[in-house]
Amino acid sequence: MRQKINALVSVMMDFNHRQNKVMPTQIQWNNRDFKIEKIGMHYQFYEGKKLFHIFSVTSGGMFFKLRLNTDNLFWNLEEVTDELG
Amino acid sequence: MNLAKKMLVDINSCFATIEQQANPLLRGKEVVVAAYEGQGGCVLAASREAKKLGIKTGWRLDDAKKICPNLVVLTPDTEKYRFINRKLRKILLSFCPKVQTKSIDEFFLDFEGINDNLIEVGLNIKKEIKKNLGEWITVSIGIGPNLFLAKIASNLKKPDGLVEINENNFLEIYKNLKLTDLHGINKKTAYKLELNGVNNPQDFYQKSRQELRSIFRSICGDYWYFRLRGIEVDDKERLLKKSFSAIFSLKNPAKNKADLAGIIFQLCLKVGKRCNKQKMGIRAVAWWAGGENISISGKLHKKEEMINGWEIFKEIYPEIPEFKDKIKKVVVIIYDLQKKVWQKNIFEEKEKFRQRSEIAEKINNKYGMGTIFPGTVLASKKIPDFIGFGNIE
Repeated sequence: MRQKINALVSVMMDFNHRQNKVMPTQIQWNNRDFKIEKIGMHYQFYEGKKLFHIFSVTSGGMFFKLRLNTDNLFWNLEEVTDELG
Repeated sequence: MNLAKKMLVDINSCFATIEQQANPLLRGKEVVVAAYEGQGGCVLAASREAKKLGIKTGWRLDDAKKICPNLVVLTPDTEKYRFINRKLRKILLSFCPKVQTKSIDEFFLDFEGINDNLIEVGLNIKKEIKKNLGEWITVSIGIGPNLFLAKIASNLKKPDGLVEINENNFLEIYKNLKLTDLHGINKKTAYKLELNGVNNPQDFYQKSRQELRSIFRSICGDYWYFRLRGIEVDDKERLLKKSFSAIFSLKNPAKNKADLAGIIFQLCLKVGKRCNKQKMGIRAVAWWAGGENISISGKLHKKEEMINGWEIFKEIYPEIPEFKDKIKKVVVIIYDLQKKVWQKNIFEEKEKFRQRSEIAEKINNKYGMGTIFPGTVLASKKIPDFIGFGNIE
């Protein structure tokens, strides 16, 4: 099932200076921790002068669409999908 | 025949594959991207798995769901597709300096004057795509002496194909194709050709230039003669277009004129923006709106050119009559485009409107379409951001 969430969420992020890679590693949502296993896609876009980064990630059979607002560095959980699509 | 120096790169099942790349849980599942999720929604792209069941672009969702009840339906995420389009273009530019974006999922590369082995280049492009765009996104690459044959080559093997059409194999390939497999030949044209003894591309190739000219009764006959021989007639380096159109199907029909205002306004902005890119002024506009029991249309020709979508909307909106039936589809077409000559308007009111609308256009370009809009559309429906098929440059 796919569900639009649109709520702030806690995210742990890792920056690896050797590989020049930035990636979210863990999400805390609904009092549960989700360790991120795979990043399907990372892309960015502008809305006016605000730059947003979108991370499409999976964790334990769940899909999360995360949005980072680079203006205030807040993370938003946009969408959650389970394995049934 | 010329050397095969043209390449066409086509993302397989574009929107659906990108969605599967973003969400690994969807991989291997029947996925479609549809204009909207309702039963009457139209399939914009079907994943490979859905295509295997026979689901095609253009199908209604309820028909697709009859074949596949577990079908995953997604609505378009335009920012994602544009991002992939830009990133792929960047990858292609690292292989070839002449890259044309033909549409959201198609690129044309011209290697004229470059001595690379294009099969090798194709393989390297695929590697780069896997590395930078993701493992699930695949492209079909066609190589040929002209754009037309490169396009045919790209269609020969899907998904993930890499096919070259050259002087050694083109006749063999023509033998195995149907007339309607040729890009630009629809059923009606195929029927016309069959009436003239052309039953397959091989017969088509064997016709003389004179014969083709008499079949098509126009210069199109000459173009086909050249196309089939690998001579370039389609790469006209972004020939200035003579018209632009935008169309939108409404999920919830509009029930009155005010309801429709926002949609017409956004379609006007869309065509105006495309026209502005080639620095043309607009002399004529036609519009059509219709539903099951209603069809209204109109056109107007102006002596003085309109410069942007705001002006188009200002001119056509008063012409639209009040209606009570349900409108489901709206089309706006602009034509008679003229080279824009900047000239200050002697009528102050008009000049002020132009200046205001140009500023509003700039703001909308920066902050998103619909940030500033005319009061007329305040109470009306808005259309979501969408990507048109065909040329997007």
